[in-house]
Amino acid sequence: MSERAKRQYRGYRMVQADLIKELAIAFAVVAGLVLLLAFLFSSPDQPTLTAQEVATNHPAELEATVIHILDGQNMIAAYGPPYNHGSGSLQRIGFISPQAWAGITLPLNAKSVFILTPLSRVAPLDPPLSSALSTFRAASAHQQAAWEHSYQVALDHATVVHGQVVLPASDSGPLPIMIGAYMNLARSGALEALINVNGRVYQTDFTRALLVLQGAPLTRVAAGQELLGPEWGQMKEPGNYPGAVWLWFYTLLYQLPPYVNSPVADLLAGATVGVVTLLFMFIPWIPGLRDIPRKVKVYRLIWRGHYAKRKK
Amino acid sequence: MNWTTRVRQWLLREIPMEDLLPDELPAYVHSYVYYFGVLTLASFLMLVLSGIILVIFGPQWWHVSAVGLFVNSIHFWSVQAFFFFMVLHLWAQFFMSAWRGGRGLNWVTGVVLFLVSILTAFTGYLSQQNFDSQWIALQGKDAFNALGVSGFFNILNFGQVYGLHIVVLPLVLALLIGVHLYLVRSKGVVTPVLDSASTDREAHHDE
Amino acid sequence: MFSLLTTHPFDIFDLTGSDLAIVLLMVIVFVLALVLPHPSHGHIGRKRS
Repeated sequence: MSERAKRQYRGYRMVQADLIKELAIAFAVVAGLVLLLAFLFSSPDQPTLTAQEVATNHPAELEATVIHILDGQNMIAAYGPPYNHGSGSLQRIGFISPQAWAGITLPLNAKSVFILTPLSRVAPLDPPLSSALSTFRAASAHQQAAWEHSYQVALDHATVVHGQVVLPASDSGPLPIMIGAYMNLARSGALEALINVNGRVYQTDFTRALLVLQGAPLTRVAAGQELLGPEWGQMKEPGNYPGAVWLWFYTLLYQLPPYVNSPVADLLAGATVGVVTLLFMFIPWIPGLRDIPRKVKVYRLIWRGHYAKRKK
Repeated sequence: MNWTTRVRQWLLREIPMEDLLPDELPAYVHSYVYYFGVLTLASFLMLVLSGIILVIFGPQWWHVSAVGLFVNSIHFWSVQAFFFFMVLHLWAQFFMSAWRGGRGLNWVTGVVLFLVSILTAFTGYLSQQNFDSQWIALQGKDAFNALGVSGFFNILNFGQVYGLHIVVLPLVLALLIGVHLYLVRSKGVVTPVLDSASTDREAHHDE
Repeated sequence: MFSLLTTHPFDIFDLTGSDLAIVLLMVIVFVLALVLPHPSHGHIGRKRS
């Protein structure tokens, strides 16, 4: 034992210790435990939700998504920073808005990236689509909006026959051809790839393809598994596996006022977690907090042998 | 001045082997709560081992291979074990007020380890390439956007998230664990809280 | 199969059974670690002075 250790432990009874053996035994115990758990329970692996699946099983939902991306009501289309100039998801408390300060760092024109560009990539294979796209692009914004509105009204009265959305007659200009082609694209399974095309063979960033199903389709699947935010979704795992229990405090905030249903919930929760984390980190120097252990006296149980000897 | 000599002398003085790997400890450490730290470390080793196997075969492997799924399951339950024991370790250190006697930095490095572990687990969830990743990425992005950080940490960017999860964050964790263990060993195990019967000799251990 | 993973006994909090089971298990393990007598307690050691 070093001189320093002798000073540190002066006055305390010393005993033999074998830390390496302890680590070896702990490793064997943990290895056995996780192997057993892995063997008994496996791990969750639910496949991703694809546009193909939505187009096949919930075609009206995907058509509604498309029309709202076109008319700008879609969540991503109206989002704001870091994607675009919208304000639908811009969080600001007074003058404080890190989101606005950071600005548009991942520019994304939803209408073009999600709908028009993928369609124009396949247009050369589909002459009617090609001319529909030209008509749509040549039309004024006012005309486009009128077509979109009329398509949306028709969609509200649509029926689904054999997995295809059947619309009542409407004055939607080129939209039925465009959206019909888009649905075919989705059903083929190629939509995400077309959205993600980056002009290079290699691809590791799926931001755009992930964002396209944001909203109704993904929320429907998540809701079916009670994974939504107000259901403690941030810390839950699909399929009843234990989730990220360590996020309980962050998740709890989203269940309580003023966080619950607040339009700036993320900013509020982020700020709260930041402050609480700092308090937690500096407990050793915060009077009151650092005295809690002395008051609850759990240490008396841990060191009961030491205190018992002291009494003698 | 020879830098090498200076570093060696500093290391020998500050980190003597007999303190790093002591074979004698004070008798008061005989409680099961002292095992939670080493169990956390063992879980971390399990995580690294199972993670290395997963990395070798690539992020898609475990979706298509039964063996891959089993290795992923080991990784998954090791995460649960890691946090399980880490939180118990944290409770034990809190109730012992283990920051006493100039050990405040031990506590701080422990809290930072907890936070980096959460970030590591989070990037792990995002790297799974399944519905879980998809949902967590789309749900989580709003928080990162609201805090204005998505420009340099975009949780929807698989390449970025995966690289952080398999290289950068484990490396940071390993370094921090090293610092944490060094601090514990160099300051020694925290002494029992003083009571009325404590001797003056013991008092100098406390703050 | 395993009731723990297939039922929602604690639906009141919208939490899955397994999440609460883990927290409960943590509390139980912590209390056991606190109260169980350590096997090497009472080993003969040397007192340093």
